[in-house]
Amino acid sequence: MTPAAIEHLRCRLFLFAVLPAMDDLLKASEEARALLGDESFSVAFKTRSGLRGAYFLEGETCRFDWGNAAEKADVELFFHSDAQANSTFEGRKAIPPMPTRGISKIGRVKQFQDIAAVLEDFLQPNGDALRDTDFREAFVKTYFGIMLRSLCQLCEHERVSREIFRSGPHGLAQFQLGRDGVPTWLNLVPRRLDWGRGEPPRTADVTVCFNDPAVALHALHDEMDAQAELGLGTLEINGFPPLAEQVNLLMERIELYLPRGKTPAGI
Amino acid sequence: MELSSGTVSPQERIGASNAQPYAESMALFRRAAQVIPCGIYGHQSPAATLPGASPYYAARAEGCRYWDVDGREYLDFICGYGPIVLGYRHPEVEEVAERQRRDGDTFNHPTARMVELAERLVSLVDFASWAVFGKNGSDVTSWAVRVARESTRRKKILRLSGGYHGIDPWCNHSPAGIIEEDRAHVHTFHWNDLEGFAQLMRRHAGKVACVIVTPYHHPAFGDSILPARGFLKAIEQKCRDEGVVLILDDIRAGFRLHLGGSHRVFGFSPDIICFSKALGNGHPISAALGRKELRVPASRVFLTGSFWNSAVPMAASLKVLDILERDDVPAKLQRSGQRLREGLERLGTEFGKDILGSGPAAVPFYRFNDESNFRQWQRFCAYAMEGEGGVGAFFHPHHNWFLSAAHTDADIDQALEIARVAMQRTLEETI
Repeated sequence: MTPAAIEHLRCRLFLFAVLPAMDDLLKASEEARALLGDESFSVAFKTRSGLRGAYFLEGETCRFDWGNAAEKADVELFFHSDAQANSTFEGRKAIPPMPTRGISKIGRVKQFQDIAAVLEDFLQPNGDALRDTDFREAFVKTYFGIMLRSLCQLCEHERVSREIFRSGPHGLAQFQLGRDGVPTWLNLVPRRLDWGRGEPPRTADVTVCFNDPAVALHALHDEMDAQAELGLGTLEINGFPPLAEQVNLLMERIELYLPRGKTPAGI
Repeated sequence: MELSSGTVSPQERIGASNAQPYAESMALFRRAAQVIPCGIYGHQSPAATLPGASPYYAARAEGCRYWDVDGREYLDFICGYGPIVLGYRHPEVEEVAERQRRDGDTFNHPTARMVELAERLVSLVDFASWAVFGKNGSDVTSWAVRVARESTRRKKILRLSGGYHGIDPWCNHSPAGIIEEDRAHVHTFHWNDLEGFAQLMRRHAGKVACVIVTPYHHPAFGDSILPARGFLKAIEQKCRDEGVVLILDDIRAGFRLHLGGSHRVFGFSPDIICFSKALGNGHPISAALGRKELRVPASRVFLTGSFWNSAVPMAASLKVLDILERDDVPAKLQRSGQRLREGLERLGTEFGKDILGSGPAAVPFYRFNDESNFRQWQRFCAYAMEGEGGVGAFFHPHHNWFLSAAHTDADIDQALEIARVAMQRTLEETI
C-alpha cells in the first residue's frame, strides 16, 4: 500500500470505527454524560478524499451517520488530507480542520474533544477497573465494538484482510468477558460480514470467553500467552478454534493501522 | 459456561461431573506456564485438544494404553500423534534399542546401523536409490525442497492449501515470525483441483522446483480427503513434463498404509519420499529417500544435526521395519481401523447421530456428521477421555486418529463401549 492509501485507511478507521464508540461511552460513563450535560449537539468530519462521518450527541446516545445526514450536523470540519485528520485524531500537532458549516457553534467542538479524551482513558483501563463487573462489561462492549467495526472496514477496504476473509474459515464467532458476560458476535459468511451484541442469531461456531479480567487486559495489550491461558482455563475457546484464529488474524491487521489505545483525544 | 444453545462447555461439564479429574496435569501446567512459553507448545498444547477436559501430561505407556500423571488410564487412539505404530514400549524393538544403547548412541561417527537402515529402506521403496536421515518430519521435508531447488535451479514450491509439512517458514501455517520473503516463492493449490494446479504450473512455467503433496489430504479440523481418480498421477505426469521434482510427504501415513510408501496405494510415483513418525516406533528419526537422478544434488545440499546419526533410533527402526513386514502390520491396522469405524458408525445409527469417518481406516478422522463446528464432538471426546470404570479412550476431537498394531479386537470393543457411554452422556445433555 502507498503511504497515502495507508493514511486513508487509518482515517476511515477513526471515522467509522473509533468515533462511533462514543455511543457506548455515553451509556457507560457518567463523566462523559456530565460533559455533555442536557445539551445536544452534532459534529461532522469531512476529508478531501471523500470520507465523511457525523456524530449526533444527545443524552446517552451518539448516533453515527456517514450518509447525507452529515449535512444536518451543527458543525462541519473539513480536513485537507487524511494525514491531517489522523494527526488530529491522534493528538499530534496538526493544522486545525477548517470549519465549513456552523462556525457560530464552533466552540462546542471543545465538548466533543473532552468526551473523546474520556473515551481514550476509558479504553486504557487498569486491572482494578476491570474487576468491576459493570465497568468490565461496558469496556468489553466498547472495545469489541471498535475492533469489529474496524474489522468490517478492513475486510472491505484492505487487500490482505479481504484475502484472509475470503479464504475462510467462515462462521459465527462469539466473544465475552466472563461466563455470564454479554456476548459480542461476528458473523463471517462469504461476501458478508455482520456483527452485533447480545445473543447471536444462532449458536456460535466458536465461543471465546475471557474468564479473568487481567487476562483480558493482557490480551488488549498484546501481552497474552494465549495457549498458556487456554491451558489454565482463564481463556476458553469452545467450538471451532480455526475460526477464532481467523478473527484473531484479522484483528491483528487492525493494529497495523490503529495503534492500541489511540483514540481521538486531539480533536 | 451457558452457551446460547443452552449447552455447556466440555470444561464445565467435566468439572461438574468429576471434580478435578486432571488435577496433577493442571498443577504441572501451572508450573510450566511460568517457565515455558505456551506451557506446552505445538501440536501437544492443550489448546489444540480440550483445555481443562483432557490430560496434559503422560506418565507411562504400554501397548495401546497410557497413563497420565493423575493415574488415569487411556486406550490410546493418537499413538503419540503417529509415531507409535507397533504399540508403546514394544519388547522386541526396545530390546534392540537397549542393546544398542549399551554399545553407545551418539559417537564421533555414524555406526553400521546407518548403512543397514539406508539399505533396508532403499530395498523397500520401489523408486529409491538413496536415503538420508534426520530427527523430525520438518528436517527432511525442508531438506527435500532444497534438493529440488538445487536439482532444478528454480525457486518455486507448489504445495497444497491446508496441507502440513512441518514448522519451517516455507510451510508453517502460522504468520508469527514469518516475513513475506519467506513465502514469496511458495504457492498453493487445492486438493483434487487439477485445473487449479495446471493453472499454477502455467503461471510459473519454467520456475517451479518442486511440488510437495501428501498421499491424501489430512488437514486438522477437517475431513480427510482421498485423491480423486487420476489426481496424483496427473500431478506426477505434469511434473515429469516440466522437469519438476515431485516430493511425497508421507510423514503421517508412512508405513501404516503400505510398507513401500503410501504412493503404492494411490498409484503414482514421486521423486523423493519423506518418512518419520512410524519409522522408529517412538524413537526419534526421519528419513528422505530419492531417485538416483537426484543423488548428486542431494549430495550437495548440506544436511546435519548433532544427533541425526544417533545409533539407537536407527537400530530401533531396523527392528520396526522387520516387524512391520513380518506381521503385515498395514493389513492389521486396516482391519482394526475398519472394526473401529464400523463400530462407531453402528453407534451413530443406534443413537440417531451419525459419526462420519474419513480417510484411511488406519489413520481415520472422525466427527459428527451434522455439525462442522465440533461443539458436540468435543463433548463426546471429553466424555470418552473421562471414560468408564477408570479407563478412558483418548479420542482427539480435531486431529486424525492413529491405529497401532497393539490394538486388539478386545481393545477396539472396549473403546466402543466407552464411546457408547460418551454418546449417551453427550446426547443427554443436549436434550
